[in-house]
Amino acid sequence: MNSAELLMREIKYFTNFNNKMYQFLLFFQPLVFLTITYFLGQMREGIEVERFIVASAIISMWSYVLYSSGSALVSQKWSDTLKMLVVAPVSLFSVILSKVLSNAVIALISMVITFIYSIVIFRFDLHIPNVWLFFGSVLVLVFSLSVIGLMLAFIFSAFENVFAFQNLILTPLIVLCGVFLPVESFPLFLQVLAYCIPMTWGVEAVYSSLSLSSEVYQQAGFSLLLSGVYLIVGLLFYRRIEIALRSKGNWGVM
Amino acid sequence: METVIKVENLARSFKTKGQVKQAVDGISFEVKKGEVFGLLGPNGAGKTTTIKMLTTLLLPTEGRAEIFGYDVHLESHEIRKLINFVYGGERGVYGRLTATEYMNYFCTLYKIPRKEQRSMIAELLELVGLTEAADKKIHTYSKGMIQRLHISRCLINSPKLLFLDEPTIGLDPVGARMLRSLIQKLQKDGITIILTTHYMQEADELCDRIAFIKDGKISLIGSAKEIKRSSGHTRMFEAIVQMEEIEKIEKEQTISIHTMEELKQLFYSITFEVKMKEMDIHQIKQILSKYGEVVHVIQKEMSLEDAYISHMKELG
Repeated sequence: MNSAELLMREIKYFTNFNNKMYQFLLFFQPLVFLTITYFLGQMREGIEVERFIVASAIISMWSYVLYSSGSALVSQKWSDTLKMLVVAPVSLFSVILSKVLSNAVIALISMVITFIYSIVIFRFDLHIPNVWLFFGSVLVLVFSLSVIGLMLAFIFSAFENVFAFQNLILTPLIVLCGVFLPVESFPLFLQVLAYCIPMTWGVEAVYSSLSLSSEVYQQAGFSLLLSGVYLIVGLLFYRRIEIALRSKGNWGVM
Repeated sequence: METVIKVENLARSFKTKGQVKQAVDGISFEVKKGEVFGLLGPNGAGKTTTIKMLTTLLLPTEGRAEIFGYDVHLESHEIRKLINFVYGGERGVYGRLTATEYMNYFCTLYKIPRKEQRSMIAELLELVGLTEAADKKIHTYSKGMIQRLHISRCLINSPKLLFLDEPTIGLDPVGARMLRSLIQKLQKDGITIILTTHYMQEADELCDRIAFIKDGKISLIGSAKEIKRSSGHTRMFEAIVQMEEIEKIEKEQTISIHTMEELKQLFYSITFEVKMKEMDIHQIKQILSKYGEVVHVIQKEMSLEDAYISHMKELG
């Protein structure tokens, strides 16, 4: 019950549409990608418009979840509120989870915005054969993004020098997870690496849902399984990192 | 009386750029239930580091500390249910929220049942005099209002032990007065309070016992009265002198100046201690007259500030 209340308050109080970065990610970035898709369609016959629109939507979600979740703890550190969260009875893990889930909800809105742009502004003929299957696979992908966002939040907080390189970490991930190109086209070692990331399976599930491929359930299952493993690792990692940060004095307390 | 805090040889060092800095160096003390205990010392003395260890934000490198019998290292979760803290300054708030929203959020973090939240928040904001501003954005608040909001936030979990780290820093006299009254009220309600402050008068007024800390070590501990008495060998004087070159008097060997304030052009109010016990007020006047015209000299009653300055000078 408390978790639901925490999530509601997180969405209500801390969703900041005035933030220029998030305005760009939510409202402007989809326009850029859809424009590229539009001109690709003008130049080449027979491109899979749905796939490109969905790819645009995924990138918007991806950016929003990973950037905002990744910086969730660091920003608390900067505003000197982290220590108050650390000592509160609700675990910091739950607090960050609520922030990540809140970001996931907003990310879903960004997908809807992308679809609205594609239909209203670009007049694309967007056809999703099974809306529920598509929506289910999108939820699986958002869950995997949230779990990775949660881990990034702790990593960026513990190692602020890593935070400085977030673009170098997050952008290659989009390529590696097969948003633009099929993972099968990568060298073998990259394929192995890609399939260790839950988003790769999630992205494949989303694309499979567009073609009503029977593999969608298997891919979604793998994504959920891997996300679960990452979540457990994240929880263990969090406990260790809490001790390490208390020991180093890095909870924004130096 | 129940012991709330028990600290034994607590130490904390930090490694920075290959060097080890000893922030707290083997301190020991106890605090009893309902006490207001002051930690006083210069900047960098180790006050805040001590508080951070006691509030479970920082692990000690040596020694141990128990809060209500729980070890700060091993039983931090138990301790966190019983304590809360306020760090001075304007940070640590979410400026875009109103005070009510801010309190709502912390009520959720402290697992306060939803049906109790509204009345609790109204009561706490009234206690700190923020009822009128409850629905204003925090970024529009003054320093004093933010400090009062911090106090109301730290009372959400009905703590039995409060850590107040320089709570009146930067406040105007009215705001500081209000906060001191609040601290006295909290003490009357049976809350044990650990207070750090640079304002000696405030410590004198609020604290039952005080510890002087310097270079990570506690050098003196006792009630304000005991501390003043321990500096009883020191004779304090206050003088008003009209002089042109203040640098010269600062070099005078027979007195040690604690404070010097310019009242108006060329007129200075000086508080100082006399190093030679047998010296009388007439002789002191003679010494001062070497540097300017002495308007008046009186022997001063020892204040906590005098005792503090004298003690810190002794420590070097």
